[in-house]
Formats: sequence, C-alpha cells, structure tokens
Amino acid sequence: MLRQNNKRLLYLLIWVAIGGLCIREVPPLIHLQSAKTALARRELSRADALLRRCQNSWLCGHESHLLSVRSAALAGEWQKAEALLRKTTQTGKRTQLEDALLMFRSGDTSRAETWLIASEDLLGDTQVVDLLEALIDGAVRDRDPELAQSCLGLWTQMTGIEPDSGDGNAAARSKLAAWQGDLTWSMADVAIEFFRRAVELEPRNESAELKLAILLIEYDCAEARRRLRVLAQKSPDLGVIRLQLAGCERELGNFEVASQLLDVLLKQNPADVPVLLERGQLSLDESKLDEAEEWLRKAEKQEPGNRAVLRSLARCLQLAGRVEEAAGYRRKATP
Amino acid sequence: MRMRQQVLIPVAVIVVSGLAVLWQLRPDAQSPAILSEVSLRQPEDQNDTSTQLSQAVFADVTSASGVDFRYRNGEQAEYFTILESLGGGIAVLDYDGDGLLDFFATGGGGFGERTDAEISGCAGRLYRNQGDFRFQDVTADCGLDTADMYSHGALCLDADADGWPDLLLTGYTGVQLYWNRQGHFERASEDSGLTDSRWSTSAAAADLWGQGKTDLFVCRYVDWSFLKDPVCPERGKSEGRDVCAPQNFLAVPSSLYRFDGSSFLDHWETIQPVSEGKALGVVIADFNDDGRPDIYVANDASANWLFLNEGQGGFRECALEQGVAVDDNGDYNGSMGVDVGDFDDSGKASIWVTNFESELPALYRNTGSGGFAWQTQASGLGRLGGRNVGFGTAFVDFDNDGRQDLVFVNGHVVRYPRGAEFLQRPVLLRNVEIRGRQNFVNVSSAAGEWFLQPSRGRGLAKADLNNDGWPDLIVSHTEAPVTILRNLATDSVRNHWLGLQLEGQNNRPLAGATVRVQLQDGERQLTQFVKSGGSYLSSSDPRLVFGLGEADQVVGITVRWPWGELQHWDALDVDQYWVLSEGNAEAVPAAGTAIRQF
Repeated sequence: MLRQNNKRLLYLLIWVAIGGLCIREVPPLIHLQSAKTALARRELSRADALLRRCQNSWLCGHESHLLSVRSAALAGEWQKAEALLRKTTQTGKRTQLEDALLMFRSGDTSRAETWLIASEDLLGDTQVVDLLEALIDGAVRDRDPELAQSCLGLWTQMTGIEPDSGDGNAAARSKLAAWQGDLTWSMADVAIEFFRRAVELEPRNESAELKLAILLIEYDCAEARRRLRVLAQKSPDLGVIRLQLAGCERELGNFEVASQLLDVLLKQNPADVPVLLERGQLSLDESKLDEAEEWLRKAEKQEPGNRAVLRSLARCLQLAGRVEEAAGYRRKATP
Repeated sequence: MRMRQQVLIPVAVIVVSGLAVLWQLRPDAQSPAILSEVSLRQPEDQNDTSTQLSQAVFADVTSASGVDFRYRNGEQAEYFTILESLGGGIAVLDYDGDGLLDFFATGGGGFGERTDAEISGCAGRLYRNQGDFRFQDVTADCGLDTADMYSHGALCLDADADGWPDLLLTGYTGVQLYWNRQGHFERASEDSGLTDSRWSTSAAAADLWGQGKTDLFVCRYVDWSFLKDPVCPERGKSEGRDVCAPQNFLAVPSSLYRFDGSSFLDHWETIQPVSEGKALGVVIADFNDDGRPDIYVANDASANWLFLNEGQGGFRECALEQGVAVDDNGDYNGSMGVDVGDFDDSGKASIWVTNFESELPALYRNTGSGGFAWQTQASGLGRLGGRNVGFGTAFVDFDNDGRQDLVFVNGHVVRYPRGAEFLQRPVLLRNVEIRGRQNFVNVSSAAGEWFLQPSRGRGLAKADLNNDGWPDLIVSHTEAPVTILRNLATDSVRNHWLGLQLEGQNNRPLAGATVRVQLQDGERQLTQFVKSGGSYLSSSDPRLVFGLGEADQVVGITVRWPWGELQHWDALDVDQYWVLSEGNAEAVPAAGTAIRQF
C-alpha cells in the first residue's frame, strides 16, 4: 500500500516537474522566437521587451542575452551592447559570432574578409546572412560604400531579394530599402524616399523609421516630430530618439518642450556631448548667452576637439561681445 | 479509480501549465508614456485666429493690366544647362519722371546649336505705368528692344546723377548699362569700363567710396560654358540627365566697381573675401550703424559674405565673425534672395536670406556689437520646413501695421527634384508678437489665389504701383508670365502710413542711409534702411513706406545720410508721400513729382 502511495506521489511529482518546466521554459522559448522575428523586422522595442522576458531561462537565456547585444547594436547603443557582451559568461562560436557582429556594426570592418572566408565552413546560412547584414550596417557607418555594395550583392544572392523586385518577404525588402537609404544618406531627398519605402513595406521597422524621421527634420519637421513621438513611446529608454525630438521641437520654435526633453536626458547622462551641444544651441536660440556658454563649456570639457562645439562656442562668445575669445574658437574650429 | 487518477494528473498539469504559459505570453503592459513628463502643448501661435488673415491681401491683376510677358530660359533645347536655372528679375523705376513707377522685366535667352556662340538673348520688356494698374509696352520706343545677351537681372541706378534712372542688366556675358536720356535709353559704350564678360547675376549700387559717385557691386556666379558642361544624371539615378548642381563648377570672382564719373574700375582684388563664393544675391545697406554702406552677398553653395565698409575703399569681409556666413549648424547654404530690415523694432538692420531645399531660410538678427544671431527657429521660421527653393524676397509691411512681414517666391532649379516639388508656392509670412518674441506666421493660404498656385518664381520687386501707400508686388517666373499683385489690404485694414522719397545732394546715391520715424513722444520708433539691390536679380521701389498702424501722427523723422550727416524733420501729415531732400529743412509733398533713383 505504502509502495503504491509512493509510486503515486512520484508520478505526481514528475508531472508537476514537467508542468513547472513547461511553465518556466516554454514562454521564453516562444518569446525568443518572437524576438528573433522582431529583430529581423528591426522592431527593436518589441525585441527588447521580449528578450528581457527570456533572460532567466535555462534553455535560452544565453541566446537571448546575445540577441540583446544585437538589438542594442542595431539601435546604435554601442556602449550598452559592449557592456552586455562583456557580461556574457559563456564562450564559444555563438558568442564569437555576436562579438564579430557588434564589431562590424560599430564600423570596424577590418576583419570582414577573414570572417567571410571562414563563414563558408563555420556558419550556417542564417548566420552568414546575419554576418552580411552586420557588415552592410558597418560599411555604411564606416562610409565604405564599396564594401557595403559587395556585401549587399552577396546578401541579395543568399536571400533572393532584388532591389527592384516585389518578391520576397516584406521585412527583408524593407531592410534592403533601408540600406539603400543608408547608402544615399548624403542625398537626403533620395534617402527619404528609400526610408519611406522601407517603412511602408514593414511599418514595424523602427530603425528605418528613426532614420526617416531624422532626415525629415530638414524637410518637414512636423512629420518628423509625429514619427519621433511614436518611436519615443515605443522605446522610452532610447536617448537618440529624445535628442532628435528635442532638435525637432527646437526647429519648430517650441523651446520649452525641447528644454524639458533635454533636461531629462542630461539627468540620465550629464556628460553626453550631443545633448550638451543641443542644449547650448537651444540657449543660444533663446538668446540666453550665459546659460549657453555654460552648457557648451561642459561639452567642450568632454570633447575639447569637437568642431561643432567649438563653432557654437565661438558664436556664443561673439554674441556676448567677447570678440577675441570668439576668434580663438573660430580658429580652433577651422579644419 | 487509479486509471482516472493516471489521466487526471497529466491533464491537470497540462491545463495548469498551459494557462501559466499563456499568462506569461500575455503582451507587455503599455510602455510608460515617456513624453507625459514633458509638456507637449502646441505653441499658441499656430492656431491663433488673430494671426491669420480675414481676407485676401493680394490680387493677381495681370490679365487686365496689359502685361503679357514671360522670361525664357531655353530649356526646350533639352541641354539641361545650369544657365537655365537662374531665371530673371524685375526692376522698378520711374523712367519717364511722371511720378508713377514703371518696370522692366528681363527676357532671358535660348540656345541654338550646342555651342557658346549659339547662346542667344531674348529682349526684356519695359512697361510704362498708365495708372490704375494698366501698363503699356514701351520697350521699342525707349530703345530697350535689344537681345544680345542671355539676361538675368536688372538694377535701377542713377549712375550719371542726372536725376533720370538708368538701367543695368546682368547676364551670361557680363553686364550692360543703359543711360536714361530723358525717357529714352542709350547703351553705354565700352568706355564705361563695364566690359567684363563673366557670368553676372544680381547687382547693387551705392556710394561705396564716399565720393558722391555711384559705385557698383556685381555678383558673378560660376565658370560654365558648353566646353565646361558635365553630364549630370537625374538625382539619385545613374541614368537620365538633369541640370548640374553648382558644386560641379568653379566660382567666378565677383566685381566691385569704383566709378570715377566716366568709367568703372574693378577693385575686387583689394577685398579678397575669406572664402570663394558663387554670388546670386546682394544688398547694400548700413549693417553696423556707422553711416557707411556695407555689402552683404548671398552665395550659392558657399558661405555668404559681409563686407563692412571701413572707409577710403577699405572693406573687411567678416561674415563668419559676424555670424552671417553660415547657418546654425555651421554649414553654408545655397543662398539666393536677400533683404534687410528691422523686424523686431530694435532699430538695427537684420538680414533675411532665402535658401535651397532642405535648408531653412536664414533670419540673422542684428544684435549690435555682438554681430548677428541666428534667429530662424526663434521666430517660428523652422515651421516652413525645407521643401522650398527660395528666390526673390522682400521685407514688406503688407498691412501697414508697422511690423516688417516677409514674402518670398520659390521654384526648383532642377527638372526632376526628389525631395521637393518642381513648381512651388510662394509664401507670405506675417510678423506678429507672440509671448514677447517676434514670430513669422505663414498666412499664405489666405493671402490670395496667387499664393495657392505653384510656379517657378525667381525675381520679385516690391513697389507701390498706384501710390496709395500700400505695397504691391511684381514677380518674374521662369517660362511663365510676369505677375502683378495688387495690395488689397487697404480695403480691410484701417492703418495709416507715411511715404518718404529721399533725394541726395546732386542726386548722389543714398544706399546706406538710415531713416527713423518717431510715432509718439517716447513711444515707438520705426527704422528703415535705404538700400540697393536686395531680393533676387531685382530692384524695388526706391521710396520708403512706413506702416504706422493706428497711429495718425508722426512726431519726427531723422535721416542719417550715408557718410554721416544727420538731418531731422518735425511732424508730417500721414497717409501721403513726402520728398525729403538732403540739406533742405522743408519736406515737400511728393504727389506728381518724379520718383528719383539712388
């Protein structure tokens, strides 16, 4: 009888354990798959949210951690990406690959050839596509259109997606349009068309939408602001969106709103040079010269050679009637 | 019983696990409203009905005016030359001395074979004002039916100081000066010294050396010819053809002519600016309040210039130092049109510049000793966005409320633009005070039918064509008719005005003079600057009209003549034009007198 009861108990425990394991591990696995899809669509805010929910998983915690590195890199948050990568306890081919992807995306494409040669033997098709995508992003960042174009050629071969074709999945075509936008970035009018197409093909492509909004600031600030505000709701922690939004509000003459946005950013990181510069320029626009100088001096302290900061300081000092000092800064700002 | 347990337990586990998994898979709660901590209310000016117009202020009266003329650029030849992109201008002048402003519109040109020898000109038109917005073509009668230059700009000046306004035309092969011999024009000979055949655009005249003579600044653009004519593909494509951007060509140095009474001598070499420039617009006025005429130049795809007049022929180019060379990011713009005005009642000469697509127009606020502050965003002009390619422009107080409003015309320079339209609408901006700051509010949509029509606007001249004290406009379009816009604001607004016609001793040039009108003792003072050039390829009404708002008296007028002397006049009746002559204490009603050029 006792043995019979023990057996029943054991049977119950096994089922409870199976249930517990399912409860703990099945959702992260599903979240991970969804996160991969979101990353493929460049829907970074959703990918981040999903990955956060996988990180304590036994089965996919490591993978989700590495994908968080990728997500941060895709958002251009290099410091965060590197910090996440450093936290990785496991080593191996998968970690090495993510390390390389981060390196490439940050613009260091010096080892591109080595990786591309090795990839044939070491990596699966999906990973090669990941590698090519990181290389395209990095080459664009490094202003190396030749490398970007050749990687783009390989990418289209592997994915079968052609620039002018209507075939293929929308997310991949959206990515392609966004890269075309990246490659024509210096021709803002042309790039806007590509990014607009990328967003039309895949409305969840947040990185394309952010770039579209940034370019639109020069053309149509009201539309840019509308897009940035939606993005800011989706990715509350992404400083770059707030900074661009602040710039947009300044462009529209809404100085109070711009100031509030920048103040929040400066509270988070008081030494952020682009934010300090924007804050200084805002004060200049408001004709608050003392305040402008204070912000710009802080920026100068962080990056003494930053030409944009030096130019703004020169403008500020000139307006303050400190002509000699201004001339000195103008000289420093001249290449 | 045992059998039932064996089934129930796994089922229960699966159901519970499934529910738990589904619970974990629920979507995230709404992200925190990141912007809730930040006030996002709209600025009050945009929807404030008090800033908008209650009825149209400009009516297109061209069709009944007898004016039927268009500037030709030769694009039909499909050569896609940069020469086609500039367009033409309007010069306003009282050529016959009848007290009504007439105007000249430049004609442009065309192409035969693809050689420089086959670049031809189209004659411009001189229209005589017959009153009541009716005009008569008097081009041939007055000797201006010549077509030997692909023309762009027109400047009125009285170079020989005989009281009759002369005409300077600019174009691809240099400049042409026409002396006005009591209503008939006679081409100046080569002895005038104006023989430089480099491509010229806008021009301005003033007594730059302080010797009572009419000196000249001539903008010159780029070194283009059919021998230096690269093929530029359509924007963002590797095929097709479009007009090349100015970056494809070398800049041509501009000209600074000193006039000795009989001929002009180029002194450009003595005033080398910091950077080269592809000059398109120029205005001469006193920017630093020292009584001497200075020169501001709007350069295409290069930094703008400010030449401060240091006397005795010394000019210091200091646009970068003064904050008027580049935009707030430190980038040079593609600048075309330019004007100067006191938009903020500071009494100082601020500068307004129209720019290329993706750039904002520039409003440089004159702060006095500290130079100029970038004021575009602070005055609400950032809301215009970067979809305009701006050309002819003017500070114009269209409703005579005493605030300098702005008007500018737009239109693309390439045939197949990507980021902006080929044909673009003109813009009228109303100057209003919002929360203690002067803002420019876009009132174009209610300004009149013409403001809703996209076109390729180029030259624009401001002129009171019926002497009613309310500024009218004349606009030149590329390959489209010249338009005459009558100011209708007088029908709906009951504001007063004061018109001043300045005359220098011996008809000396007056650009660089500053005029201040005191409204009430100790209250508002209005300031205007006597200028030459301005806008784009054009020259406007030489008279000054001060909008007075509801004020019906003027306490006093002070004129600082160029090169120093101050002269004061006491109260004058409003709502009429007065002639103020240098050295003459009496102001004389201007009705019926010739409108002198300076």
